[in-house]
Amino acid sequence: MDFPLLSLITWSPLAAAIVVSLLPKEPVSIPQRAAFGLALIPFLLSLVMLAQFDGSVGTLQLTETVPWMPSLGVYYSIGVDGFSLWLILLTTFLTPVVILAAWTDIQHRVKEFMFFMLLLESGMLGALVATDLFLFFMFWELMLFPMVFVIGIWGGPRRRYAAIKFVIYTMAGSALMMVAMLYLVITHAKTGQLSFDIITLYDTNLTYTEQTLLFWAFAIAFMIKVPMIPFHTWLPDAHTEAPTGGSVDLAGILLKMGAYGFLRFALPMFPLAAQDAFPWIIGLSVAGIIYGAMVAFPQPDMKRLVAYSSVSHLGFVMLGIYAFNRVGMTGGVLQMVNHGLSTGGLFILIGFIYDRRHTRQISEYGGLWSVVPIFSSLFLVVTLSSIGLPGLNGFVGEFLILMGAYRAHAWAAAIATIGVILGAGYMLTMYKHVVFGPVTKEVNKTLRDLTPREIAAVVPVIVMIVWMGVYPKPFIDRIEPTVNVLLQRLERAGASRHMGDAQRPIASRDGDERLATASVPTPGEAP
Amino acid sequence: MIEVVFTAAEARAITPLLIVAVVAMISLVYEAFADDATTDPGRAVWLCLAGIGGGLVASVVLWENGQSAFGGTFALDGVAAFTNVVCLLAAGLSLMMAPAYLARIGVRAREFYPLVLFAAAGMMVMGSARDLIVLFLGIEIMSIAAYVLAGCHRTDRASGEAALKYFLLGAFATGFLLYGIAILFGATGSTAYTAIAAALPQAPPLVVLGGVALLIVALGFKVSAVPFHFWAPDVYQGAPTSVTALMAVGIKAAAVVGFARLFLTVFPSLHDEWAMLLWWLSVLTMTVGNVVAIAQNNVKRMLAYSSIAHAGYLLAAIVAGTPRGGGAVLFYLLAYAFMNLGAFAVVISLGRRGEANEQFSDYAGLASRRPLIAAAMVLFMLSLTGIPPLVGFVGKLYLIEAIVQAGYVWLAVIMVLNSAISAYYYLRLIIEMYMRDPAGEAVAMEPAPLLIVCLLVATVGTIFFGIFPDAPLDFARQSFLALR
Repeated sequence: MDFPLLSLITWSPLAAAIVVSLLPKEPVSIPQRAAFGLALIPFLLSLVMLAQFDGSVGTLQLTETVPWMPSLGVYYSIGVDGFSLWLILLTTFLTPVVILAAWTDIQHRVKEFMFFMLLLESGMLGALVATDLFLFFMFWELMLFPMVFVIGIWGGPRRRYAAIKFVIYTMAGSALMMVAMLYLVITHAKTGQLSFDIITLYDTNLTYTEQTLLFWAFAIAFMIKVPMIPFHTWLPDAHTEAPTGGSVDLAGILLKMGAYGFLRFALPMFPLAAQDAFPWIIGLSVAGIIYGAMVAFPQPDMKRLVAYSSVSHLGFVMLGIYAFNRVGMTGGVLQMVNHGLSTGGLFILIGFIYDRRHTRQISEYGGLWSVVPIFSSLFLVVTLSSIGLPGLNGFVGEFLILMGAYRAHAWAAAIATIGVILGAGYMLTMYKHVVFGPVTKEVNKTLRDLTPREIAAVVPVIVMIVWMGVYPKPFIDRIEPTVNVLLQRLERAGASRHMGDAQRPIASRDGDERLATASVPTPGEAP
Repeated sequence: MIEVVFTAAEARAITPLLIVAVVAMISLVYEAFADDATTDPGRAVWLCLAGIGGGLVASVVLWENGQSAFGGTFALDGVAAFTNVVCLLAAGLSLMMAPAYLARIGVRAREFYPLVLFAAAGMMVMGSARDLIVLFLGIEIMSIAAYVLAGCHRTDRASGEAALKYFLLGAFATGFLLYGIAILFGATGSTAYTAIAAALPQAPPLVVLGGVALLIVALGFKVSAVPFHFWAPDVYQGAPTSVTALMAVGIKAAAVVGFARLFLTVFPSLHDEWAMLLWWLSVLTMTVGNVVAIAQNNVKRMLAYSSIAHAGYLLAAIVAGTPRGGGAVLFYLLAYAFMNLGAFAVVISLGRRGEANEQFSDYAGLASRRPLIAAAMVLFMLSLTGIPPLVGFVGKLYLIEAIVQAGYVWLAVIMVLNSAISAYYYLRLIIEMYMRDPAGEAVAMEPAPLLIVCLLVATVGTIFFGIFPDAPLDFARQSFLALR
């Protein structure tokens, strides 16, 4: 291990949070500026990480391993691969943007807000880099609570309800995951090696029944986070009640943890059970796509509308992953980043207009184009990106997903395409009612357009939206090798079953090792 | 007949207990002759704290696996040393909370401090007991002190009610315990753990099971397991808060260790039978504790039900019946001591003369009034919920690991679901403190210096052992392995 770059990226926001908490409360510009400046550090460090990242390799890179609790086999081990690379960058990119965007939104207890946002960033980064199950679980829970405080302190009128609902849903899911995690580790320990390292745990001997149960224990925890139907009901409440900064982080990164969890844990650790679960996962994804879009249509509240659109968009992500081919899965990973950018941008812009009018009701607006042209044009770009207009980022992801899904399950792709049309429908309807037409409300005539600070917060997001839409190759190139590694793993597991031996130990990453372990008979019941 | 030979090794084994008990007596005599008007009550506190410190140091220095006194009936092995540390920690921290608190509620009972020491001595005996009679002695020494402590706020009706309730039901439990001991003695011809274990194969099984069931009832009362828990909420709420802290942590710890040592060393051959009984007891205890805690509006009462729920978690690890389970129990008791004593210290620090401020609504907006105390309370609540990287999480993880390892996967699932339920009421307090505006005017409250020390110890313990749990956990596991 040489320079601990990933550790620095992960822990620098925590250090920044501690620094901010020691600063004076008043004037509020001190914690604001300090938080923004300090949030740039992890971003710059993650650019260094991007430069050092070898895009041709599909396994974990920049790894660090330090013993932590040897009696339990717990190591502080972290690393990055194509699944987490862009999500890490998205996290470090969105945090300064959010802090900048929140300068007028958050007026009281500013210092605490900045503290929790930075703490949240550390938690999210930790969950993305952790390659030890224990460490991952720690960060998984750790990122929950800053978000609860952000929703509960600075949220809307029903903030306490939303915060509690958010916690109970997530805790119930992670509780099951904890038992499954320990069961897995203990089963693996029967070979004599006590370890929480996920790469080591990939090789655990599990019967088919065990695999299925463990897969679902993990999958439900992740499905709650995604969120997939029927576990999605916390999301509209949390999104609607959270302040802008909370909504952006929630939509941009926290939701991705669910899909990321599938890629990093549920699929590679339980490859057979994961593949056999496809009718459920694909069915629920497609149902989520259509349901989210249908429910988004009549929403009177802009934020709630975007929240339901997230249910729909995350359905696409899961559909892409579950296509189990290179195109679809790459599209799914890419779409996670796209959704983070476009939905993040939407929430930021809605937050700006909310700062001015203190309402998010669509019916309260209309004709904004003539009053606030800068806002309206930026809003248009982000809306189109969310719809998936060719030339912007959303198109690339959705296209890859649908292409992959069509190859795997044509019927699912066909239904999902309806979701794309519906998506264009509700987003454009909202845009039309807010921006076009005559100015119906007298108060709207005197609205201020975006300030330079606000423009500075949104423009980076727009730049990324256009860049990823026009030239997505550098992004895709760094995702694909990791996708290939996972797909090979899944294929090998599937092939071992076709040879008539479903109870065979799950293949390791290395082909030769697999032959060695494959000959060991596994006790246990038949599938 | 037990041959009592007193050697140097045996003297070592009883030294920690002797220190605590002798200091308790000295302080009792000192208090009796001290002049109320002129002597500083602080002196008694320091004397008693010194006794506790001496007991702690002696336990840590003198323990040795297999070391025992009085014909092998009283051990100072790893398990006993660990229990001593947890119980003396609880006693010490409750002592530190007490002076300012007692002055505030108007209790001038000088016997308070020595009684805490006597209770601690009883707990130490329970952790060391390797004979049913010694276990009985420990329970009685501890309980009688605790009955008096619960009622030491003589002008308060709730305190009196608590003492009476605790005493009456405690007396019942004692009856069950003695009856169980008598039956086991009849069946096996001995009260010593080793002798009972050796005689079990020849003993009439039904009689033995009857005795075991009676012991479970008696010990279940002390650990406040459902359905023997009805005394706990009233007693915990009515007793002075520093006494509640001692009961919730120290008494529970001693009783759980007594339970674990008895069942893991004497009755492993009957594991299938008692494990089934305890399985239900544990599931009932954690579920009832958590579900009822949701409905509470008084923080002390909420903590009482939460402590019932935690007793359920601990029983679950005893169900596992393995040394690993025993080790996890010991570690969890240490974790529980830090986080729960911290929570009680916060409860005490918010009271004022004439106002207990124990309702949830009294905590509204605490974060803006006293940010540091509120932050500490958040830590304790999150740790009780089991959120990493705090000590409560690691403790729970070890419990679940031991349970899953012993094959009780469903018990583990019920336990984690329970811990998700518990998130609701712990979080409610956090929401009161951080997400509501203060109801009344902001009043400056200055906690006493000793209370601040107490909060600091609890906070540091909650964080430090959450991140570095390895040393105490290893010690706890090795101690239980050495019992076999």
